[in-house]
Amino acid sequence: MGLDNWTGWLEEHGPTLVLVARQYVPSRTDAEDIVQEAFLRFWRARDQAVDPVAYLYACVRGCALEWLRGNRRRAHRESAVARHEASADSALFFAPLAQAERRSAIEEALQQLPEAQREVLVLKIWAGLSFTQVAQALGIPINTAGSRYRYALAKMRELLAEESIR
Amino acid sequence: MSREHDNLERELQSLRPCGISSHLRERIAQCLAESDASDPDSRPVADSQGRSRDGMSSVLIRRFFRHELVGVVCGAVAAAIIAAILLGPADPAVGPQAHNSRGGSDLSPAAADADAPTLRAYQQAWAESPEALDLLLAQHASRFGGSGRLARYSVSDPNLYESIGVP
Repeated sequence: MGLDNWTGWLEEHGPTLVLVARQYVPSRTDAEDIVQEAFLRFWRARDQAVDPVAYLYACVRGCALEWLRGNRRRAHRESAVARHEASADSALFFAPLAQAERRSAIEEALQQLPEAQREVLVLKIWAGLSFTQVAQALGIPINTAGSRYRYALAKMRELLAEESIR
Repeated sequence: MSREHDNLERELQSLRPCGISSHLRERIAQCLAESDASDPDSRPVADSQGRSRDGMSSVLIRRFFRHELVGVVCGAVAAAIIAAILLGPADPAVGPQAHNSRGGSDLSPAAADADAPTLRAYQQAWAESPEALDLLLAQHASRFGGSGRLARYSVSDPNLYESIGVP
């Protein structure tokens, strides 16, 4: 994809960018604010990026962390309300009605993962990044990205098994 | 273990993230447009739609033609003034009478009489000498291009004396 077509970039990566942002902030509205800032930051500096795709997701993560630092006090105060909004606001994924229960279980299990594992899993599974790109986006070694991914899958399997038992 | 991971991976990958809102798309488009407008130098030299280069060139063309129009108007005024100065003395409407009427205040009556092709001027020239009359006739012939009535005569021509009333 060319670096001059911003709408193409947004069409291809926009849904995943919002999904990544929602791993840090509960509200979809806040996540879209973060994606907006991150995308503008990415677009202004895209020519200097070694790997533009990895840089795009790194921008989202950076903006989300800045947002959390700036809104930590407010986030704590409104966390209960936000969690409720997040659950009722909108789902993270599309799924047929017949699989709604399974989708809900996966979303819940995802939210229970440690943040370090969750962000690797989201970037690898839904953003489709390679381990090299995941490592660049998160600023971690490639081996660390690989091990976190394996731990994340194991944890997801465990959580989903528990959910099916209930 | 690995096969279980593969199955879980496939199930997770089958889930598609929810799409972005149209509002987000509009906000990004607006921010990009504003940043382009506020800082034109930061835009690409030529984007895929050629808007940047076209925008800058249109501004330069408008500036060029604005200065060019002022130059053309000034040049036209200067050319008109120069033409009026150069063509003024050669104006065919400016004869001895017109010259006298315009520059009369600068000429003495005697000088005006000497310049004008009048009977009195010719009589005075004849009274001085035939050469003076010849000289005056030659001056008037050269000034009026030889088309005048007096240009057809010379001093030795008897018709000249009849035409000016000299016996």
